[in-house]
Amino acid sequence: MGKVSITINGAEVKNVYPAITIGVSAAASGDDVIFFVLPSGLPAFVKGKLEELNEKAAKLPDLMEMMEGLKMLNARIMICELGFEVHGLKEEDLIEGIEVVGATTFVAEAQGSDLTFSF
Amino acid sequence: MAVKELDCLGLKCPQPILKVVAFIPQMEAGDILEIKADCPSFPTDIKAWCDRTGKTLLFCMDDGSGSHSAQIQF
Repeated sequence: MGKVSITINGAEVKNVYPAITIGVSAAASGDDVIFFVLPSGLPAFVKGKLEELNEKAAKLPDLMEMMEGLKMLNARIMICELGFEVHGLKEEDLIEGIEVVGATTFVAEAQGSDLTFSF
Repeated sequence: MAVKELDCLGLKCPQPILKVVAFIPQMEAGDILEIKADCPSFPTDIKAWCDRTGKTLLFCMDDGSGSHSAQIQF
C-alpha cells in the first residue's frame, strides 16, 4: 500500500478535522500514515483539547473514535519539539502516543510519500 | 462460509469504513459481510475501499430511504 504524510499547522477544527479524517481514511485503506504537528497545531494535542474540538464540531464524525482508529491502525503522530517552548508546555501535557521529533526526522520518515497534505 | 452483519447506520464518513476495518478480525476467507449505512458517501467509499484492499464488493444498493446495503466477500 501507499504512504501518506499530513502536516497539521493549526489547532482549530478546520485544521484538525480534515487531517484526522483523511488520515484515518488512508490508514483504513492500508496506507502508512504519518502526521507532523507543527508548533501552531500543538495545542490541539494537549490533554482534553481534542474532546473540546469534538464537542465544538458535533455535526462532524466523532473525533475521539477516529483517534482510536488511528491508534488501532498504527498511524504515527509526530510533534515538532519547537512547539513546547512556543506554548510553554511539556511533553507530559500531551495525549499519549505522540512522538516528539524535529523537522529533520519527519522529513526523513516522510521520504517516499505517495500523498502529502497540509492543514 | 458465514454471512455476518454490520450496522453502520448513523455513522458519518469515514466512520463506516473504520468500523468495517475494525470488524475484519472476525471475518474468515470466504465470509460475506453485509453492511447497512446511511452516510451519503458510503457507496463510493466502500467501492474505493474494496478496490484498494482487494476485497470483492458483491453489491451496494440503495434501500430506498437514504440508506444503503452492501455485501463484501472476504
